[in-house]
Amino acid sequence: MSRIDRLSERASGASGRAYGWLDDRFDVERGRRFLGKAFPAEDSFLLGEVALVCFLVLVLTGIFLGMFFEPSTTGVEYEGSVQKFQGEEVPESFASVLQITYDVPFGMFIRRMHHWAAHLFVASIGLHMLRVFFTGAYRNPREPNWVVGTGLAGLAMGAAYTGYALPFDEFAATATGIGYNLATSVPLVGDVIGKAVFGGEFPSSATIPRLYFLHVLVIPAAIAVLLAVHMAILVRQKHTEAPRDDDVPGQGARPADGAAAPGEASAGDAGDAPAVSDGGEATVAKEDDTVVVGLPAFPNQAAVSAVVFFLTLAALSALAGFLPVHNIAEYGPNNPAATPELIMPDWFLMWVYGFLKLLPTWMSFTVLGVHVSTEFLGGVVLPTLVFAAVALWPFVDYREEPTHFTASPLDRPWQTAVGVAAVQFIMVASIAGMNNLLGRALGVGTGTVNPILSAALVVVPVVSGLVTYYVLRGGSEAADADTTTEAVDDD
Amino acid sequence: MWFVALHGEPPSEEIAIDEGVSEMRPLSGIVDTPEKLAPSQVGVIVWVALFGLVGVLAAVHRFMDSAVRPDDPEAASETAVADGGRVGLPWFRTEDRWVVEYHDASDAMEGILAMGGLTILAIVFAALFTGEYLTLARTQYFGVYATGMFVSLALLTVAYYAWFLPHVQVAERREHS
Repeated sequence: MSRIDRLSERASGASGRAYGWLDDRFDVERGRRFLGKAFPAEDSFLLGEVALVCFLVLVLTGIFLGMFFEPSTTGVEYEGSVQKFQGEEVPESFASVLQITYDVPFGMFIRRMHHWAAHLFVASIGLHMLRVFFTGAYRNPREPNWVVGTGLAGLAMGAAYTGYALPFDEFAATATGIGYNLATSVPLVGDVIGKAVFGGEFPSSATIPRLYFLHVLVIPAAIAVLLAVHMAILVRQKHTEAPRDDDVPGQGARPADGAAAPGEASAGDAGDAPAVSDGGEATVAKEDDTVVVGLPAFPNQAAVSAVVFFLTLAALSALAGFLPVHNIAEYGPNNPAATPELIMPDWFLMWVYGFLKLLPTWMSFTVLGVHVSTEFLGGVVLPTLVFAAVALWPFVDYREEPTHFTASPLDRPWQTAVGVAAVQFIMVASIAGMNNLLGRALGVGTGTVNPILSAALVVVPVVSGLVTYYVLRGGSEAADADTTTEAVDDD
Repeated sequence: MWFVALHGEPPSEEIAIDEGVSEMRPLSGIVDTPEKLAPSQVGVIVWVALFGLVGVLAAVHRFMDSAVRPDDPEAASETAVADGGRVGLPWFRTEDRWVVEYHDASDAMEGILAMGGLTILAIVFAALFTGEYLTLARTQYFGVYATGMFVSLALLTVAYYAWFLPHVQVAERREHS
């Protein structure tokens, strides 16, 4: 054998040897079975993957941004390319974000991508939760994963909020100040929370480093842990599945004579039955949810996930390329002596802002020397109740028996009605958070729209929920009546 | 809600860049876009983008799902593989999992052409992106090139799935022994 042949032989066996080396150390062979895990091929099941991709983009772009960002409010003379601030003393964090945006090649693109990924992360988690809610995919045994998902939604908002303030520009600092006021409004422990989260009275020299620490380490680590738990539960419990159209072949050995087993297509079949490889002694009924049917994780589902990955990146790239988000050069550095023309939190916290705007000041009270302010009620108590209601929902719509098939929202009148009412509630509260914009759009003052919004916050959800319930219940009753009539006719 | 939310920031002037400090032109672009967006406007844009993304994903996912299944019964029986439990990869079947549907990949010539074309497209966009990085670093161009590159890669994956992956469905028992 020539030397070339020996080298060729060694090269061709390299992958096998590498695999053997890994298998000896990590027992890869036994873990391989997870590569076949069944993923039902449902379009709406891809929403969670969109959120996952967003988190990955956030981590990667965040690492890039972290190489340039300075988490400090110390004043420095700005020497970058933005004419407006040249020679001016600005906070170091503000100057570093200007540098990333205007003086680092593709810094503006990466920074925008980070921001849009943060917004898409929250939105995709929200839509994912709505899908799970309306299809009943939170029911037994998936209640724990719903609770974990609710925690992830809260953490995603927290991550976005703590990142919002970091450039220490006038707009974000003012909006972040709302959060500080809410934190310190908590009776008895407000000051401690304020010191823990904001590093003392806002804005202090410790505020930005503290929020930076939370933003780049504490919250991402918590998200990573909860994501791991979320995935582990999913793998353990397996996916929900949409109701099947047909029975599927059961597991079993092919008959020895080679005859087609039940449920197996043979050449020339009408094509209704699937082409089966493993054969089967019996079929699995389409109503049988002890079995989940789907694409194997590798390579089929992995390819689908790759498409989700690339298309999500494409969407984020398009947004980052063409639309600015949090353009700090337009707002200027934090100025305690001024107030920006527009004060508002991020869109996903607008409903909380709406509570703050609608609750009248006379609702504050003092008990045994402890003051309970309107800020605490509207900005802490109500949002906590909303999150608690979301987290506890699977225990309200409780099922004794495990349910693995998703349901149509049209077949669940009262659950869908509650969901519609809840969405309306958040939407009206969000409009209340933008009451100044609403007033501007209608040409009236906030004093005119606030009472209407206060009434709408109660009336709109209740009415929309009741309408949804009666419409769906009518549909269900009609369907039941049709079924009964058919049964009688058959008799 | 969106109607109200879009009444965000009034138009503002573009940030002036001192071209003596840097050769980069991050604000040079193809089209005029807003200089700043209010959080409420960002909310509307991101939800529109998400619904658009979900729509595209659903369309692509359905195309992938239909492309790998033979259309007519004759083709189905020709491409059906029935080898008594030997099809596919070793991990498709365990004591709790089995293959319920399997069709060989078509390996059609159009798949080769599509993948070749999309590979060239992805490389061209990646080269343009790199070129932009080394020159003016215009953000809108980065956006166009990155979007083009990622869409090319997505479609490349779709083409591979549709023409070169076998269609497999497995069934798995939920309760493991």
